[in-house]
Order: sequence, then C-alpha cells, then structure tokens
Amino acid sequence: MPKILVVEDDPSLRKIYVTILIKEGYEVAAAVDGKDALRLAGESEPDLILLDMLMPKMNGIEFLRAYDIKGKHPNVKVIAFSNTEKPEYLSEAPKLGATKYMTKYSFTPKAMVGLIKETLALKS
Amino acid sequence: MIRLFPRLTLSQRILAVFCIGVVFSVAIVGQILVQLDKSATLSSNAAQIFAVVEDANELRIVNLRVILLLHQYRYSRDSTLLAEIKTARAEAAVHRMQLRTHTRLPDVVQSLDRLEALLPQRIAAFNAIRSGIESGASDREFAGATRHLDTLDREARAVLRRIASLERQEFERKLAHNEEAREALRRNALIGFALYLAIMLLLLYSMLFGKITHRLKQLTQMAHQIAAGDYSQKPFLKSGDEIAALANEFNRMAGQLAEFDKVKEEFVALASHQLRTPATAVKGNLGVLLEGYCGELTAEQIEIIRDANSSNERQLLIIEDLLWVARTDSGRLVITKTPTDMTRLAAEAVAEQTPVARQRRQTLTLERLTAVLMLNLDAQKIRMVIENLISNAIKYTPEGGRIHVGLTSTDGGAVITVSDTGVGIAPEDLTRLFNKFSRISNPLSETAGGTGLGLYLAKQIVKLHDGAIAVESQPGTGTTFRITLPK
Repeated sequence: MPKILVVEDDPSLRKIYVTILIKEGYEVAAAVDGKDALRLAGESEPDLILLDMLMPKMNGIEFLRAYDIKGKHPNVKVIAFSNTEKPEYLSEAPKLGATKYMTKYSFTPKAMVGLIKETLALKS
Repeated sequence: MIRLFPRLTLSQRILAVFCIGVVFSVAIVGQILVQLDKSATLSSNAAQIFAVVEDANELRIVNLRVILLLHQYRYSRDSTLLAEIKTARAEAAVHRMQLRTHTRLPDVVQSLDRLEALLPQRIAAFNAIRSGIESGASDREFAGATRHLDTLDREARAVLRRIASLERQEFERKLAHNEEAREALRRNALIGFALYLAIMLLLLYSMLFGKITHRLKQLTQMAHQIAAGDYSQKPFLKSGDEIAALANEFNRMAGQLAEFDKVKEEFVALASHQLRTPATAVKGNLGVLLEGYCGELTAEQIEIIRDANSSNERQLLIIEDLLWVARTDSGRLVITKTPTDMTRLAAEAVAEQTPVARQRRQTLTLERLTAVLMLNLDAQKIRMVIENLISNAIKYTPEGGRIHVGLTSTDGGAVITVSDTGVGIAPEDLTRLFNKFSRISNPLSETAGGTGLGLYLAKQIVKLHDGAIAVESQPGTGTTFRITLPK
C-alpha cells in the first residue's frame, strides 16, 4: 500500500486524517511540524505528503524548500493544504513541487480520500 | 500656467507678492502724480495763452480809444482831451510791450514791429493836426494831415486785427492740442492702471493661487490614493513649503495606515485560521461518522449528526463571508477578468441551485440566450453573486413558488435578472438592503439565516466590474434583482 506522511500541527485534525487514512488501508506516518516531517521523510521516502502550510518551527513552504521535491525526491507527491488562502502559499507551493492545493475546511473525509487517490494515480 | 520660484514657501510667497505689490503701487501712484502735474502744466499754459489773446484785444481797444479821442479832439478842439490821448498812448505802449513779451508767434512780433514803425508817422500827422488846431486854422487847411492820419490809423487797425486774429487762432490751436494731451493722459492712466491690475493678478496667480491649487490637486490625489488603499509613500513633495509639510504628514499617516492594514491583514489571516481549524476538525469528525468510517449508524444518530454538521457548515460559511468582507474593506478584493460565456455561467449557477429549489418544490427557470454572450469578467466571483441571488430567492419564496433567471444582451454588455414570487421586501428595508450586516427578517423561516453580508459583497463585486445592481420589490408579490455588467 502507498505510504502517506501526514504533516499537521493541530492534534485533532492530525488524528482525523491519520484515522481515515489507516481505515482506507494506507501506511501512515504523522509529523507535528516541518522539522519533524523532514526527519521522518528522510528515514523513509513516502509516496505522498499531506502537508499543512501554517505550522510552528518550520512551515510548509520552508519544508518544501528543505526537502527539495523537484531536485531530490521527484517521485513524492505533495498535497499542500491549509485553512488560509494566503496568496503566497497558493503561488509558491506549486513552484516548489506541490502537486495539489486544498483548503481543509471545504473537504469531507471521503472527498479528501478521493483527492489523494487521484493524486497518487498521477504519473510523476 | 507658469509657476514662479518653485522653491519658495507659501509665507515667503505671500511676503514677496506683498512687497512687489507695494513697489508697484508706489510706482503707479508716482506715475499718476506725474500725469496730474503734466495736466496742471497744460492748464497753466492755457491760461498764459489766454493772457496773450487778452493782451492783443486790450491793445486793439486802447488803440481804438486813441483814434476815437483824436477824432473827438479834431471836432471839439478841446485841448483837455490831449492829456487823455497821452495817457491812452502810454497805455497802448504798455500793452504792446506786454504782447511782445508774451507772444510766441514771429508773425505777431513782425506785426508789432510794423505797428511801432507806423507810430512816428502817426504822431507826426497828429502833431500837424494839433498845431493846425492850436493856430486856429480851418479844417480844410490841415485836411491833408487828417487824411494821412486816417490812412495810417486804418493800417494800424488792420495790423491790430491781424494780431488779434493770429493770437486767437494760436489760442484755439493750443486749446485743441491741450484737449488731446489731456485725453492721452487719461487714456495712459487707464491703460497703466489696467496693466497694473493685470500684472498684480498674474503675479498673485503665478506665485500664490497657481501654486496652491496645483499643490491642493496633488494633495487631493494623494488623499484619493490613500482612500483607495494605496499607502505607498509619495516622493514628490520635497519643496519644503507648508503644503509639502501637510503632504508629508499625509505620507506619514499613509505609512501608519499601511502598517495598521498589515496588522489587520495578519490578524484576519490568523483569526480565520484559528476559527477554521476547530470547525474543520468538527467537520472531519462528523464526516468520519457520517461516511461510515466507524460503522453503521442508526437513522436517529445520522439525523443528529447531520444537524450538527449543517450548523458547523453555517459557521464555516460565516467565517468565509467575514474573510470576504475583510478583503473588500482592505481593498484586497481584486477581480481577474477573463473572457467568459455569460450564458454558460448563468446555466452553471442555476444548475448548482436547482437541487435546493427542488427540495422546496420551487420551479427554477433560466431564460437561455441562443447566441454566445462573451463578457470580460471574473467568472468565479460573478457566479458567486448570481448563486447568492438565487439562493436568497429560494429562501424568501414559499414552497411551490417560481424563480426565474433572465439574461439579456445589451449594446453595452448584459443584464441579468433574478425574479421570484416570494414574500417581497418592505420599502423601508430596500434602502439598507446592500449595507453590511443588514439582515431582512424572513417570515418563511424561524431561524435568521445568513450573515447579512451576501448582498453587500455582491454589490462590491459588481462595482469592481463597473456594473450596477438594483432591486425592485412588491411585498407579497415578489422581488427582482437586476445586475448590469459592461462588456
């Protein structure tokens, strides 16, 4: 099964995503911020990263820069997600290798799973 | 208009204009005094010339008197008249001398010379007559002398007439000349004064008003830009005058506003994130339950969770609306225009709302245009506006009612109408309909739905497209919203 790394600082949201994805049968790892994610992704490369943008210590954009999807991990898909529509996130994330951008509040669990499946099906 | 000395401050300008004004005024008053003096000179000249004419006339009269006295003496032979004749002659001599002194005409001087040349002959002729009379001779005996004297007297009278005529002509000539000179003086004074006024006004405009109006225009433009949300610092007012000082204060204020705006933006971004996150967690958890991740639920459980979910969705919508308003108020609501097929956009909006209308057993119809109607607009935002109007129509129309969306192509663009057979809007509510947070009570629903921001946002979005939104309503009959959009 594909490996998914959930990067989310809010514990209740993290718990929901992890619960749903495990129930959907994915192999799931969870990180609390960008630094944590960098460590986990370094240990084992995931197929997809569900990446929150606004986080303490290291935010989503900083993570994308540090992890270097385009250069070092071209096979990793990234769904950047956030609850703000900050223009810089919307424009910067795709440039740094994010495949999709979603606003958390507009997705039900099933819709989110649909987006993940769709993204994983995309060719690198 | 030229602006003199751009580096001077306003008070320096006022002082300069005042000083120049004083100098000019002194100059013009001096000039007027000079002209008055000239006019006085002309008057005294006239008096002098008139005195010459009088001299000439006096001389004529005295001469006539002498001739008259001679005749009287000849006929009366009264020797007492001799003294009178002597006095009259002396008087005539004085007048001749005066005339010679005063006159400026060479012809008159010549005539006087002639007169004086005649004088010894006349005296000789008179003396002959006198000695004849004194010796008791008869008139016939000195008739030759008498004829001779008469001839001389006639010539003298002719010379005197000529003198008087010359002097009168000269006087008339001078008088006409004086009149012309006076007229010229008056004209010069008027032209001078007009010139003075024009120069002063020009100076006043160039140095004060021109500068002030120019600066005020710049200030107005600055204020306009600040009001429109452009807080960038304006570098143009460096000249150091009072208005520049005011403008620099404006700049400082704009800087502060920019900072406040940034703080507000950050606050809104943070608040929206903070508010959305728990609501998103609730949505996620309810979704996990509703979508069966935790096993089958009873119908009652599903209903309760659906209620909770719809309340949560409403909360998310309110947050969404508040964010829109924050964006609009800070001037960050920008539209990105692309060529859009209006017919398709309206159809999409109607399709989106059709299930909701169906739930309320309402008929939602769209008047389709056969041709493609392309408009340059922000499709996403205009669709939001139309959907909002349809959604309102559904909410305020009783079950079984009709909602109709019309689309008309006009020369200037398009008109979109959303009409319903709903409860209508009271006239007193119509005026505040597009205001922020204005909610109109709905007799069809117990809960007050919405944030009262939908129509406010609709108006702002339409305004950004240079369009207009209007409403007509008949309480109890229905409402029609009309959006006009340019091409």
